[in-house]
Formats: sequence, structure tokens, C-alpha cells
Amino acid sequence: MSAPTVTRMAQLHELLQRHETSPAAGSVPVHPGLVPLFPRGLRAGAVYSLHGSMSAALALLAGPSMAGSWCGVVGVPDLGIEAAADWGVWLDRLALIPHVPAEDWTSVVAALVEVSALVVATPPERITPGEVSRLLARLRTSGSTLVVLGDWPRAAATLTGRVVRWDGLYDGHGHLCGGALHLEVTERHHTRHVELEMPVRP
Amino acid sequence: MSERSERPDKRRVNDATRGTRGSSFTSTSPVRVMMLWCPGWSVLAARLVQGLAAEQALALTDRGIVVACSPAARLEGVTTGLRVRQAQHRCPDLIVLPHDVVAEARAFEPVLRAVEEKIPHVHVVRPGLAAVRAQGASRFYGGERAAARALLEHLHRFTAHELRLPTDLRVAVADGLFAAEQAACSSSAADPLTIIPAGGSSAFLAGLPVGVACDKKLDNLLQRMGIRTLGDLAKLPRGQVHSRFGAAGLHAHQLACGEDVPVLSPRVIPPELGMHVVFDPPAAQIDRIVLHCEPAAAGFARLLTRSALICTQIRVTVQLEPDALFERLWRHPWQFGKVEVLDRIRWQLEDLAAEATTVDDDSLGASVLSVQVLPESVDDAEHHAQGLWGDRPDEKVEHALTNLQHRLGHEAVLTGAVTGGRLLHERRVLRPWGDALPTIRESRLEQPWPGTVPGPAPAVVFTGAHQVQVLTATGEPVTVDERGAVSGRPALLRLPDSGQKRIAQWAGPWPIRQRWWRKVRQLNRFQLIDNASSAWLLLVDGNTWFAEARYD
Repeated sequence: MSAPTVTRMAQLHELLQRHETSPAAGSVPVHPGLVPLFPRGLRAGAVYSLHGSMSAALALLAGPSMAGSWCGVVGVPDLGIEAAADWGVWLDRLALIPHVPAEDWTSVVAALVEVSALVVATPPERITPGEVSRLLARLRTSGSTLVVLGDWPRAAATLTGRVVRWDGLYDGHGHLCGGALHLEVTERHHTRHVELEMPVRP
Repeated sequence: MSERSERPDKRRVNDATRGTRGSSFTSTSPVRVMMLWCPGWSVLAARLVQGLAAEQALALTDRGIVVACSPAARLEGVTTGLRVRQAQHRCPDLIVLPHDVVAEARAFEPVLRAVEEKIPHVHVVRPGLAAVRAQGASRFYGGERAAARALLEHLHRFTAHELRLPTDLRVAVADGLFAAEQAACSSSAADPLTIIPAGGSSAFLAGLPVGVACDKKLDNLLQRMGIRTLGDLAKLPRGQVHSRFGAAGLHAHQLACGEDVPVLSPRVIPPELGMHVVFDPPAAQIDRIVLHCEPAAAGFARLLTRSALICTQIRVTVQLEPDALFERLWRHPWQFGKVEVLDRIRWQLEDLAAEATTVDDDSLGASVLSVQVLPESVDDAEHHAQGLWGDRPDEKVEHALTNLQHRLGHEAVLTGAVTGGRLLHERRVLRPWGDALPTIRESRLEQPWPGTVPGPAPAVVFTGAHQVQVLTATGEPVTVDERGAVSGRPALLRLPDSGQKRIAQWAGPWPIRQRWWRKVRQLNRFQLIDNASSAWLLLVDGNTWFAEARYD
């Protein structure tokens, strides 16, 4: 294979990658601690499915929020606001919609992704393929990312967050003063993982 | 009884004169002032507002002290300065009301309007006491006496017919506010007109006690030094009075010499903001009501814009047919426009409809007679001008969130803030989008909160209390007694939905001592880690356990 062919291949590869990401504008920034997991940031216009830890959701929210974008949280009435602020989420740029009727879910999330870089949402019990593709189209045009707390039919990647260690609490004495959050992302059968120390000082 | 005793107490007289002291300098040639005085206006205003008869003994109190009383009460021996208990002792059927300065000022408003019908540019010294410039009026009516008489006649007619409250009114003309006020106070009901000729102030004031021109402390001092009248004070050299008694002494000396501020500041009538929509016939459909309110709301927003004002708080009053009023205060962090006002009206009506629980979704239980919107707090628009990097959100975000709120309801779209508190759900404040979040001062985050959880904040704070069970290794429930003693070692955590977990590490009880004066049960907090590596915060009230928050 001659040298020009190699460069041509590389160019095509680049083009393909760019197309695969999003037509809108590249990516959604992530928290500095998550950079090993998402070196290029979260893909704009994609849906990620997150299992397990709520702290992982807060860590994901912190990235775009610190970059100055609005974020939204749908269907999570028990969100710990204080923990979110500790992760680096700007509370004045966080819209919360704790309860959404199931039939309005798609339209509410679609309206929210129009104005925010990242939306974290609890998925409804059933969602039709039509609604899924409509939501994906909205995400792609607005260039934002949706993180679903649960399963999602066409997720770009699956994330699993788990706290693997707690420090400071013993048998009858002490108090929690930190821990380690293990985050794992599975994207196209490749798995990357990172361990984050908590609490994180941004 | 002498006329002097009717004079409002000295504290308030001095308030009136001091109001003009701060900003302006005194001059030797003050303007001719026509002063209108309604003796005992506080009591009259209270009677007007409360609808009380003249013969009832009435006393107005401020912090437990009588500040004004009606003639009937005075006959029974009630005087100003008495304690309420003493006054009630002297006159058992005394009606005691708190002294409401705002209501008093509001009641004086019609009188001021009546004065303005005759002579424009009224300067309000305080409720019950108003001044106008005498010069123009005397030229128009042909003399000060004629002008004062015309004013007095007009006001007598007005109070008798409009207020239906024959009032004792006094008018005085003198140089400057202070002399005019003193002249008005020294007149009698039989001769309500006093005119001090120009330049005659100092001669008139010379006979008055020194206390009318200074505060209690200085009055006391001057009395003890043998300076009893304003004439005595005026005779002293000004420089020495100033060096001995300071600014207050200088001011008193100037007043005693008949020098006063040369300007009157006429009152500014604020524009009538707010909107009022009347439904005739009464309406019951929410959509129709809101549609009907739309032009008025647009007018309201336009008026605000034209007056260069920003409204951040409105009071919406809905009057229902069978004589019921529903009021609600709405706040907005930036500014109320037409859409915002209409949304608030809609939400209030929807809340009313939800309370009425009618069969029809879009209809209220009762018909609406009128909708009124009053601005509660307005500010100059220039104070809220957006900076180069404005602190209000992007227009697009605002629009999208307001739309969502419009669709889902007022309480559905929230923004949050962290405030001070011991319990975690108290530390989380969620407010509807558009409502103002607590300020730094209100949030009290910096204050010490003994009993807060140290360490990282939990990611999940439960909104409702989930009851859980904590058991010892043998299956006995763990309890905490009043002295904070734990009955056994917590070993098992039983959750209502996800079964039983083993407790790996734990700590507690951490007492939460708050509002002990209300004798509420004391809560204790436990922190524990289960075998699935979830950490929990539990609250225990004796033997009942609740999950407060979860770290995960």
C-alpha cells in the first residue's frame, strides 16, 4: 500500500469519525476526573445509559455545568442538591423537573434538551421506537446529550457507576469522609474504567 | 383642658422638624407657609378605618404605651405615655388598637386631595399635618386670611359630606414650617385661623417652651440651665450655643430665631399601577377569564415600561361571587411582563378550581366577579439594567423553561439552592422556576449548624420519609432511649423494597438537638454502610427508623 493511500485512508477515517459524532458541534465537556473515560467528551446528540450510582450522574452533570451550560434533571425527586453543588454543578443553571406524567416524558425531555447541554432523566416504563428516534433527532439538532438512569434501547454507551470503597466509618465510631467511585463505560464492546476519589474538589 | 395638651407628643413634633434638617440649610428668609392641622388625626383615622363612634373611648398604642387617645378616653383620665394596663385600669371599656402609621397616612390621602383642589403642591409633614406655600394662594384669593378661610371652608364642607366625620381643623400662616406648625398648634377650636405676620416669627416663638424645638435630652439640659423658653434661647449668641450643644443646639437656636428651611417639597403622586378586570356577567371558565385579562395585563406591562419601573412581586386578588376573596403573592426574580402576569392568574385560578373539585375540568366552582393585580414591589428599571455579562439566564432558556412551566404547572419546574439546616431535606430548598431563591442572608449557610453531617454530602436525599428497620444480629429491633443509649449493636438493615442487608460499619447515635423548646421528640442520626457498599443516613425517633439519605 503506497503512502498516499494511507493518508487518504486516515482522512476518510477522520471524516467518518466526525460524521459519527454529531453534525451539531462536537461534544459535551466532562468533569476533569472523567477525561480518561471520555477523552473527547460526551458525544453530542447521543443517549447514554447509566446504571448504579447517582454520584456518577452528578459527576456527568458537573462537566457541562462548569463549562457554563444549563443542565436539566427529569424525574429524580430525591436528587441531593448539596452533593451536586459539591461536584461542581452550578445550581443556578440547573433545572429540575421532579415529576413528569409518562405521556409527557418525551416532549418535556425534548424541550429541555433544546436549551441545556446535558439532561439526566429517569426513563418512562415504556417508550415506543418512534418516540426514541424523534428524541434522537432532537438531540442531534440541539447538540446535547441525554443520560438515562436505566436501560435505553439505542444507547451510545452504557455506564456503570459503583462506590468501591468508603473511608472513615468504623464499627461504631468515625464518620464517612471519603470514598472511591468506580466508573465503567462500555462503548462498542470496548470497556474503559476510571476510579474517582470522593469528595472531589473542582 | 388646655389646647397645648392636645399637641402630639414631642417625639413626633421633632420628627417633623428634623425631617427637613438633614439635607437643607436654614435661611433667614423662610417661605410663607400655610399649615393645615387636624388635631388628633391618629384617633380620627383609626375611627374612620375601624368605623367606631365618636363617643367610644379609644386609645392607640405602640409597644405597650398609649400614643394617642380619643376625647372620651381623655375624660376618663387616659393620657399619652401611659402603659396599656394602666390606661385600661383607668377606663375599663377602653378600645385599644395598635397605632398603624400606614393606615393613618392612607386615611389622610382624601384630605390631601381636597387641599389640592384649592391649593396645589401639598407638602405632607406627617399624617394630620400638611403645608402649602401661602404666596400664590394669597395672591389668588386676595390676601392670606381670605385664602386660609377659603381652604378651611372647603375642607369643612369636604369632611362633613365626604368623610361624614365633622373634624376640628386649624389653619395657620407663618414664616417657615416650624413657626407655622407652632402657630397651628397654638390656635383654638373657636378661632381656627392664626396668622403670624411676616417677620413676626421670633416674637411669636419667644413665648413657647424650649422643648418644642429640640429633643427630650437637650430640653432637659436647657431646663436645668434655666433656659425655659425659645426667647431665652434666641438671646444667647449662636456660636456659643453651637459649641456648647452641638448640631442639635444650633438647629434649635435657628428655629428659635425664626429661621427655617426655605423650600417645601410638594408630594409626588405615584402613577396608578396595577390592573383591575371586572366580569359582568361573572365568568367561570378559566380560559375565558385569562383571555379577558389579556388586554389589561398588556396595559399593565406597558405602563411599567413607560414609567421605567420593574415589578418583581405582584398580588393577585380573585373575587368570587359569593363574597369570597382569594389573594396570593407571586414573586419573580427579574420582571413581570404580560405573559408572566397571565400565567400567575391562570395558576391561581387552577388552584382554586382544584380546591373546588368540580366535575368539569376547566371550570371553577364559583363565578369570578373580578381579578385584580397590584404590584407589591417595584423598583427603578435602571437598578436592574443588564450588565455586559448579564446575570439573568439566556432568553432561550428562560423561554423554554417558562413554556414547560406553563404546560406542567407552577410547581413542576424547579430550581434549587442549598441553605443552612440540620436535617438534609431542610438544607435543600427547591423553588418553582421564576420564584426568587433565598438570598445569601436568608440561606444562613455560613452559620454554625451543630448536628449537621460531616463529610461528603449524600447524592440521594429522600423527599418522603421511608420507614426502615434496623435489627441486631439476633433479630431484635435496635432502639435509642432518651439519653441516647443504643439497645444493641446494629447488624441488619431491612428496607421495604429491596430486602435485607448486612451492616458492615456504622456510627451513631448523633443527636439532632433542635427546637427543644417545642418539646418535639429528639431525633438521632446513624450513618452506616451495608454489605452492598451503599452508605446510608438513618434517623431514629425512639424505635422508629427512617432513611434520610443514601450515598451511592
